[in-house]
Amino acid sequence: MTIRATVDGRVIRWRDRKRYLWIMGAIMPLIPLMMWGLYAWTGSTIVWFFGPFFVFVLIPLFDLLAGLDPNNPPDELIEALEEDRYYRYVTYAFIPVQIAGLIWGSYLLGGGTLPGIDDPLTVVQRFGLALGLGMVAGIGINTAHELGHKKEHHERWFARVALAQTFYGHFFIEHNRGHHVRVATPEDPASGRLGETVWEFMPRTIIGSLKSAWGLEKKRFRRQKKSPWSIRNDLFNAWAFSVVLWGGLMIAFGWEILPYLAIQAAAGIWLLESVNYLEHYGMKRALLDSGRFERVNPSHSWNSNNIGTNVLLYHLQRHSDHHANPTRRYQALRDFKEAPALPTGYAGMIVLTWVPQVWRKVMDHRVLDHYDGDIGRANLHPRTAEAYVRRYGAGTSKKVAA
Amino acid sequence: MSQWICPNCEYVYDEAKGDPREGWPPGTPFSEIDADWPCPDCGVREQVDFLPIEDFEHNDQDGNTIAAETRTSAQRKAAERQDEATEGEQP
Repeated sequence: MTIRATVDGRVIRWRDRKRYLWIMGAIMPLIPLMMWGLYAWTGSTIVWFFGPFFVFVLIPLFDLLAGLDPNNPPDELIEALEEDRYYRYVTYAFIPVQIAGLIWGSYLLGGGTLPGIDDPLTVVQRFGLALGLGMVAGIGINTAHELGHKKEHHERWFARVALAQTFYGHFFIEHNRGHHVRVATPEDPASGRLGETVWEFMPRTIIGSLKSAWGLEKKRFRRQKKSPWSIRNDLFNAWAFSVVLWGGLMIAFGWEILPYLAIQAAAGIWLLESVNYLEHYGMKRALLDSGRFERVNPSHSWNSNNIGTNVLLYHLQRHSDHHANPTRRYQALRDFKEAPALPTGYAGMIVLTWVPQVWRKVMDHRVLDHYDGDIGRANLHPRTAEAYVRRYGAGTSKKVAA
Repeated sequence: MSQWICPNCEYVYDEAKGDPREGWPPGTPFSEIDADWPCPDCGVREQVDFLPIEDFEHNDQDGNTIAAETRTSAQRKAAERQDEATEGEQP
């Protein structure tokens, strides 16, 4: 379908080649169901680990083979593209599929049987299934991310539903009002620092983001001169969705599924926070004389144009444009040619984070090049800052450590 | 009662209506709002970055990001240019 607009008597036409590929995102939550088919066919325990295999092996391979997609919509058509409601319906469609997949998985986790699954799953099989549900849960946080940024109230409520599976309802508060405000500064718990391993980052971001979300809502209620202990507190009304979802699943399939629900939530949160770690790794906004940090600009996010991950994550990797214009809808996000780019898609980069030595080898010189060799301009991790300065020199910047 | 607009996402703060959800009751003058209060919709512009709605032409989403700091220095430079121009006119 071609979009057209008339600007100064000139007709501009553009065809969105990714228009129908976006449906892929809504098919992702069906991954656990694929395991059913694979198991009925092979009877092998290993197929229950298909979820992590898909995210950490198949998507990175697809990214390497399918290559880059640098296509941008013309500036004149961005508004028309955002107004096209088809794109938002594709994101809404994710949510019922996500919930249906979770119900199906919980039935099996509770010892249920199906045609082709004659006996209740073993503990190892259930663990694999929980990891697979967790991959969907993590991608669900990405869907919630897209919806939670929008001005429409119903889309913000949909975001809460998509976050229910991971008990991560506070995410859309902290992300929009905390992370976006302080991104790429030493104050942000959800921006990875140069020299920080993903293993150190995880507790810092998970605890720090929760504290920050609570602080933001407390502040808002203090201005209203009301107590934050209220269902109007967005943390509580978002978590309420999780209580209803998890509670309902345990009533239906037994409380014994609780450990597996916790495992899938942890896996989903891990996936999401890994992306947080790499999106701004080492990036720092300069502190201005006014005491504020410089405005977020394209140089403060890592981008990728790998089409595989981009289609599955609603252009999340066009991250510089997202931070410049947080309310802009995914289909209209552009690739900024001057923005720093990762060597491959986010999915493949997550695999590299697991071994910090490999991660540093791939990323540290890129951060250094990005700052023209001046390590003092990067967001240094306090634990390793001294070693980095010794190794790379203090540079010309006066403000060294955070 | 005046209206102020976020130059990034075009959220409008109307002094008459306030924004009770944010803790600003109807009638709260914009000048009484915290300088570091971020836009409730996009989060990437703060109170000091907002513009009076009558001064607003188009949003800064084209990447031409205008911060309060650069705006004041741009205004200062414009004022200096004007001073120089008037000085030049004098014999």
